Amino acid sequence: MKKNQRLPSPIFDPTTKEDTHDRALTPSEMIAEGFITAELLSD
Amino acid sequence: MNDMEVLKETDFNFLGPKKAGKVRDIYDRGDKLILITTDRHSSFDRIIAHVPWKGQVLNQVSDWWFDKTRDIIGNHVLATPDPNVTVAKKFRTVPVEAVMRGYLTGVTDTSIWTRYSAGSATLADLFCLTG
Repeated sequence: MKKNQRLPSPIFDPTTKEDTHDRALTPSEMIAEGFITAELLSD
Repeated sequence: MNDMEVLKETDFNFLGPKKAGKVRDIYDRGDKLILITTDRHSSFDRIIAHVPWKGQVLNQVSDWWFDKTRDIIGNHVLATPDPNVTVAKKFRTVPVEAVMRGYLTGVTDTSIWTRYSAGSATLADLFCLTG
């Protein structure tokens, strides 16, 4: 894909809210690193 | 603009341990938090300016929405004793920001274009495409 191109469909792209800078991570990484539980994410 | 009219930071030691976020100074009272919204302007994950009265506007807009949505889902807001101040119940937070992306763009470390053009594997997970 090219820069500024519209995405085929909107995507969920969460970041962690960390004290210094935000960090991008996938939903599976969020669960693996203990930021959120799978149960809460699926809600 | 006179420096005195801009709330850049606070130093209320008597309120308890302070934690400075990008925009808010947070004082820990044990079961409650005192959130003071400053005039710091964070964009693209950086403090880029200080804007007079911005803290008051942000805190009061937040308070308005937390009140309007209280019947849908409960929230942390207990009181707003000052335009810049929210007294909040302390909760265990889920430290995640829910971002939706519509375009492949951006210039910062966390932007989707930066990560995509660097060949980020995590982004490939999201896209499920190789283009």
